[in-house]
Amino acid sequence: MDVKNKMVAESMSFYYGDFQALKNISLAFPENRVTALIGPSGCGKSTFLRCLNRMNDLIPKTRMSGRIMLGEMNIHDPKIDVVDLRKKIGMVFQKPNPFPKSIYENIAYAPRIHGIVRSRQQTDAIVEDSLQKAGLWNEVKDRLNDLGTALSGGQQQRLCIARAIAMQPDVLLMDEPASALDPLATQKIEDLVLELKKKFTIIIVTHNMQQASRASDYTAFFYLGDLVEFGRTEQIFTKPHEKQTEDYITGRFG
Amino acid sequence: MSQRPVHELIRELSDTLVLLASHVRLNLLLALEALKEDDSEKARRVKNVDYQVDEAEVRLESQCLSFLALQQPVARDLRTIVAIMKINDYMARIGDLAVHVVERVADIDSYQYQQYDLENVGAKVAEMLQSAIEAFSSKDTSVAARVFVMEEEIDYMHRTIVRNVMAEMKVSSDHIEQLIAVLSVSRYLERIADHATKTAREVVYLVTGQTAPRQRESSYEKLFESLRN
Repeated sequence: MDVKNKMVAESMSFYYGDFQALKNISLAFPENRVTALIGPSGCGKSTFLRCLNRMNDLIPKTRMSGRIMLGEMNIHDPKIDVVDLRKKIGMVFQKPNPFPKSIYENIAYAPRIHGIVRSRQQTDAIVEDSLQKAGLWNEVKDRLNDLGTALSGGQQQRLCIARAIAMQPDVLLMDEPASALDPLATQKIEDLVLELKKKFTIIIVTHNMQQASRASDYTAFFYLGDLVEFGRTEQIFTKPHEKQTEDYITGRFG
Repeated sequence: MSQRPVHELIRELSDTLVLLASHVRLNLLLALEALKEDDSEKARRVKNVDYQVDEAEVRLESQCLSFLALQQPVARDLRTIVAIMKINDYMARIGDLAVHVVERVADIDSYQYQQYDLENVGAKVAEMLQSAIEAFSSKDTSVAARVFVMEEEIDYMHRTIVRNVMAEMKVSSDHIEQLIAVLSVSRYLERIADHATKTAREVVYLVTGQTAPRQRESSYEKLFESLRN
């Protein structure tokens, strides 16, 4: 089956001052697939993820070279509004960070200020649809006015996912979305990822090898700012080509 | 490369398999002696040892299953455990075939034993098994490659025996039972060689992650082909 690439990084390098955190990374993310970024702490995977929706723009003394394409669009094109870009590329963080507002408002806020919804009816519909897709609707439908921050950790994280997908992004970035959650909540997030890839292209940073192997279609292994290996997850976890990948995933590193 | 307790566990499982395999090999040698010497006492010992091999096989399989459930190995660790489980099974089957061989001891006399060169076939099969075990314990694909070459020789020897037995049956029906026993033993030894080959194939998979190419024709097909000529 032919797979189209939704997002492509070309010869990308990234520097914090003099320190080169990413070295000439070229990597393509297939559409409607989950790509896991793995590697030890400090390998550059989160920096890379944050480059994909220009989250590093505001960090002083950083610079980037190379190119990142979202479809036909260069995300650094001066004509691009970074806020619009982040509508297309949603992000979910390690620690759930709902707004200190009601569950309903957490979802409704962005679609409303971006003019995606113009009536109460439309807003209700997008809130329900997003919560349904995030697998949270049945748990919260009778308490939509409760504070988002009053939910359990796993529910908060699914609320953040619902908030991200309410904007109908093309790509969903996830930075260790389950690392602060218990096994059951983790399982729900992983199941959700498999469901969401039907509509979105997902890129997920994880330290959990089993999570990468269970939830992703492709895996990229980063080490010391280099992309060591990229391949189908099944290949990476049964017969990696590179010894460094092998040593990392089997716990023989360092 | 750092060694962690989990890798020590994998090494222990490998060592257990090598130990089990060497028992299987010694039992095969004992079975071949029983056949050569028409020795029912040795035949009995072969059966006793095989009970122990079967028990060890079940134990090792259960240890491997626990390891998979608890450690969730990947990459080479995963391939190693899968190889151990499959080779464990092949060794148990080889053990059973050695028992089948000694069950035919009473039916084969020394004349047929020599005429059909069963000693040579047995020695070759035992050598093959030894190489297969060595390939696993040293994780050496060049040793595995030797096994693939020997399998061809065993196939040829087996085909020759089948052809010669058939020729003799056509001449006289005096020794049909003994000749069928010769055929059976030859077939058992050829099956043992097959399992040794599969063991060597597992070693190639374990080391390279690639599956060794299978013989294009099965040994049956080759046999039928040779009988047609």
